[in-house]
Amino acid sequence: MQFIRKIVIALSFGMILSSLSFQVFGHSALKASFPVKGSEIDARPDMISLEFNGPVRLVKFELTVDGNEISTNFVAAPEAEGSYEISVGESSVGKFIADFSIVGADGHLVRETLNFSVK
Amino acid sequence: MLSNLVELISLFSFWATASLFAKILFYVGSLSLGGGALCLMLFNDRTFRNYTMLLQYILFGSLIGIHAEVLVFILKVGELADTGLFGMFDIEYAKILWSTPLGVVLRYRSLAFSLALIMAFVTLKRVLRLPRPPRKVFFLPLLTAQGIALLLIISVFRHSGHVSVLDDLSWIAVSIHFLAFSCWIGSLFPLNWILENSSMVVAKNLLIRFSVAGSAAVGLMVTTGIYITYRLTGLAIEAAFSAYGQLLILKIVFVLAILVIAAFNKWRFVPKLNEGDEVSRLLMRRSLRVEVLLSVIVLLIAAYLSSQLSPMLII
Repeated sequence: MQFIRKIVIALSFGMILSSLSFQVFGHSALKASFPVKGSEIDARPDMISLEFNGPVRLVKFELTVDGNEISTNFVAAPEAEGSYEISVGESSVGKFIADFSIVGADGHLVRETLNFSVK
Repeated sequence: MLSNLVELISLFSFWATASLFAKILFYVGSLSLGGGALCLMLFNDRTFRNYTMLLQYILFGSLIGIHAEVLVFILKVGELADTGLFGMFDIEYAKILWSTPLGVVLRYRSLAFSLALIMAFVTLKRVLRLPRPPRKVFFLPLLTAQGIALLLIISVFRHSGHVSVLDDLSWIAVSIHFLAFSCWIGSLFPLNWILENSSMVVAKNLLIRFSVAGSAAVGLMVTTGIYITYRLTGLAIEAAFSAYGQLLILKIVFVLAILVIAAFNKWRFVPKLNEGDEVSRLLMRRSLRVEVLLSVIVLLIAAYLSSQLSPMLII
């Protein structure tokens, strides 16, 4: 019983420490985008393009402007691709945040955010 | 109260921690398949009690394995849906992930554990009806099923994990690494049982034989481990300063600690095991338990390395 308790304690400590001590690194990542991450542009984009460091499955894409959701033509990708283009519906100007998730070639689910502003 | 709890959970990165827990459960299931098969073949005292214990070990391990795989998948669904715990049951996101490598992992591995579970259950029921302990050939169907299950499990490394983006040799290396670890560490629990329940003569003979198998497993693990590390990090100095590299070094330190204890077992404790000597039995049992404890830590680190961190450099 004492032995099992020791294992449980070791596991718990390990889990907590591992969650707190290390930053989670993305396995697949965004290489480039239009609009560029963190940029400020003059005109509202009709299209958002995402380019990754390898073939990924884009499984989720949500776009908001100042917290209000904007419609897009996004559908979950059936095959892994290196880049994606997503049409953006009518929107006002403001702070855009695209919250998206990808599954990389190594099967890891990665969540990323692309933010930019339109004056 | 509830919001505080949610806030506390979010501090610990709930999805990452839960995924880590699920991965450890998967390892526990795999250890029962590898270690259970090895002990059924080579390291048992041929008694009903030992066979029953081994079959229950495989049975419960497989059951844990199935749950682990389902848990891994629904946790990913929940992480993707991002709508709290109920998001784990979002059918639309589950459908999307089903067609990704995450779905492949779920299908192959749950099939593997189910196969082992069914065969272990059938074999256990048959054993309980026998008038005397069966011969080794009796376990052949179960051992075949376990072999197929382990092959299904390692085949998934081709679809998911850091090595999946590398060549076939890396996949073979990680498969051997995984199988050697599963068989070696998975045998420690049944061997501890033998030490507690069998005669000292039987235990001593089995442990002497196990140390030979253990040396082979260690050789395979070290060789394949070095190769995989080379392919993932290039053995570059910079890699040692990354989170991945530091945790990998920590894992190696714990593996070395296990090896030191295994060496103590082989050359110091096992030769001293004699009938009636309770002190040597106690020392050996304690030593095996420390090995198991260290193995749990190694599994924890391996789970974190494979699910949360990236090796940064893949050559």
